[in-house]
Amino acid sequence: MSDKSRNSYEQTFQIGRTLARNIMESSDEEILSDNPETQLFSSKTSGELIYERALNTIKQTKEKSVPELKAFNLADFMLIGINAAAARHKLTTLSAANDPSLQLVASQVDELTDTDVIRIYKDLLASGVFKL
Amino acid sequence: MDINLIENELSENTLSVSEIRARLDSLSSDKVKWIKLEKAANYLCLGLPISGGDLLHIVLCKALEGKRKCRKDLPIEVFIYGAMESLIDSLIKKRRKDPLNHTLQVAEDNDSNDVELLNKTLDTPEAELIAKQTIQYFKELFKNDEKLQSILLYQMDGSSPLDIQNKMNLTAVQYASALKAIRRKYEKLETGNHE
Repeated sequence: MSDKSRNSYEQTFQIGRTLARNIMESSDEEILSDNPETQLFSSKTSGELIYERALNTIKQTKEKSVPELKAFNLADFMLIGINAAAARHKLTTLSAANDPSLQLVASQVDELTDTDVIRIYKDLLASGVFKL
Repeated sequence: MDINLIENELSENTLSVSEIRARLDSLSSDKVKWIKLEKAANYLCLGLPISGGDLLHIVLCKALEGKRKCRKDLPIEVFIYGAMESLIDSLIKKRRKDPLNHTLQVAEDNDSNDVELLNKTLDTPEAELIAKQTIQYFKELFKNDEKLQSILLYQMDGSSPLDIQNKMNLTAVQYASALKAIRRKYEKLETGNHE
């Protein structure tokens, strides 16, 4: 028998694993008789403290991994489902408004591109000109 | 078999993360189980530059993250112990210099990241020295008891419990009793309670 055929780590692991299994296979009564103080103390065992530390680690990991939520934007929300044609129609209703600049937009709405129509409509939603 | 069927079957037979958490929570009323896990973790890290506490912490985190599957019929402490043993076993196997062993005994996917992390702690001359000193310590400790020393040497050589029993002509009960004697003597010296 040669103990040089395995490296030191393997040798210590062979011993450690055998003794660890022996512990796990021992009855609770045996463990208690080896550790009589266990029955007496009411404080937590180091195993329980390690479990609490693990719970904290998981909690912190989860908190770090929650993605940052984009701020809610009512204008973006109201824009859902609105196409350029619908936005263009909405803008034409501004001609009845008292604000001269809005009347100007309404009068020129046919000359605006779809992108500009959507952008102006969104700005007006954000500024509260259009209500829900 | 369809991969989805296998996955469904696996999920039916394994605990969810919340079930694992509930079972671990329930262990708080059973201090002996925690003591067993602490001691077993310390033994698994014998001669390694890793503490039993750190090993237990790593494995508990993996279980709580759902990265370890636990069969429903398995006691939770046995599951945690098995995960700890598997992790250290993977670490030791990975360190084998023999290229054939590397090919045959690849670390499990479950363990590979943790093995990489722990492996760094073994790559020092100090760590190697600690392992050698631990072996020497055990040999010295049992030099006056031929039977216990032989059991230890057979263990270091990788003999299975059954092989050791056959080679030494021991019954299972005698073998278990000898292991307890080894464990108790070691623990008494470690805690300073000399006879």
